[in-house]
Amino acid sequence: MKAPKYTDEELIARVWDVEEIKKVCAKRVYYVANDWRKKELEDLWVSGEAAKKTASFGRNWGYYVGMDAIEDYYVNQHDKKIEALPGKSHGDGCLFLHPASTGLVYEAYDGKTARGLWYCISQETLPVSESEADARWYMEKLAIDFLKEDGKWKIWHLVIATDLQSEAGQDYMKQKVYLPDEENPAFVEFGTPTIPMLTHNAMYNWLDNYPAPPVPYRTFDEDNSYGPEGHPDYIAEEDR
Amino acid sequence: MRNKHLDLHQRIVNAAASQEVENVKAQHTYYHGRADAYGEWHNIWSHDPWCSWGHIFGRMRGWDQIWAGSVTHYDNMAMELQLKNQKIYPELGGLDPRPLMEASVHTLFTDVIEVADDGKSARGSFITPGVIFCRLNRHQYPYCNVLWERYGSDFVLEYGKWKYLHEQVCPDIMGKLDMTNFAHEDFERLTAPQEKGIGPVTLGEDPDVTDPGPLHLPYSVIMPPQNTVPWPEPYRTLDNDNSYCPVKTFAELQAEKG
Repeated sequence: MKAPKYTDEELIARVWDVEEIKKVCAKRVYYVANDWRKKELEDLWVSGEAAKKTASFGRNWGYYVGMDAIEDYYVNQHDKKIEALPGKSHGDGCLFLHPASTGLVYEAYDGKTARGLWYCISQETLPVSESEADARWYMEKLAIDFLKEDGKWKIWHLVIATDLQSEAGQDYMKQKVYLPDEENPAFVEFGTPTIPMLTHNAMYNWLDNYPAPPVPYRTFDEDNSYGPEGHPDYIAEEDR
Repeated sequence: MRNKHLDLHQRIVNAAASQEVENVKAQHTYYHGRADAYGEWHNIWSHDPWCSWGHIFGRMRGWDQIWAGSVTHYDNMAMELQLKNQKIYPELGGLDPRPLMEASVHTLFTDVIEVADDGKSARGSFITPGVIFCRLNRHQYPYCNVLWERYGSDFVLEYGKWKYLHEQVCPDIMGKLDMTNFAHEDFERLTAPQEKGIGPVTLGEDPDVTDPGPLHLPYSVIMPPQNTVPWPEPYRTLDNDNSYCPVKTFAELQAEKG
């Protein structure tokens, strides 16, 4: 696809847009690290009524669709789990660091949306008693569709595709080859999404190429998005 | 500021180019993570006869040698492993052997990118604290290695698209996730390699090269850090003083020495 010819003013506006998009992704890392999940949804995610209905949060096992479902999973259920942990106050002994690297970002030629892919060598730590914690490494892709709302870039569809998780300080090579989902904390954490489906099968490395790297594009197309419709195995509700 | 002499138009074009180069470099990571050597070299590399790709073991020069070493040789490794692995895991039959070999995910941090004043080339240095992992393999246990490298990369603008021209890869440390003291391992490599069963750092069978290695030395307890691919400085145009690939080959340099 041939890129349009841009004037200097148009080109520097697009350069600026990409830098703003990178900052939204980077800010989300800090929101997650500080466990500001509700604030993240309020500040960084889409707020228009139509976009809120189609917003999605995906992991290896499916998608939550709509901001209400996302909030229930990502904020309410999460907060209940954190409240139930040992510790004197909310969040004692917790840390969620998912720094985003290897950014690949394309803004649509029409300037209304953008798509980005990052890789995160991450860790999550949760207390298991007043003196001990479960600390884990997570290797994962982070893919985001962004929508420009009132001149600001907002997260619209987000996918975290986990490649592996391993307890810190433990020998990953001793993990079962066929690890049951129930023994995978990422699966347990994800609960029952709006659309349950296997989006990324980590048994086969990156064979499924999901989420796929973005490529230059003219305009948003849900079939080529990080929402559920963009997954190659997605089946529309009416066809299920 | 050096680029003050550039007019506003060229500075805007170069700012956009810097982002494009970041994307090309990231595309490399995502292609390589799937061991899609064909996709990587076909789509994001210049086919210029001057292109080069170097590692510890040496530097391949020219399109044919790179293709033989980085695509054909690499694909062969994947296919050989697939033949072994599918005897253990029959479910692998019929699947693309390349991504099943392993996922080599060379994450990118710490970019220093300079676009030439003439806008025709760009140079970048990067640090990659990466991971290499696989679940279904001949060892019958999952593995995740940690590999930290530096990259020195030259890019050129061809028909409006940014492409790789040269790359020098410089591995510094490697080990099992959370399980390797790489400094102690190097000490044992130096003092008791046979007793400890620790061989030299290699990537298996080396492909044919024009400039033999070693072109970079990984971390060692008896050596200072190796600044093999220093970050690029602002520059006017791609030339022998501003490139990660010397113009003269190893053989030509040897001949000059007599």
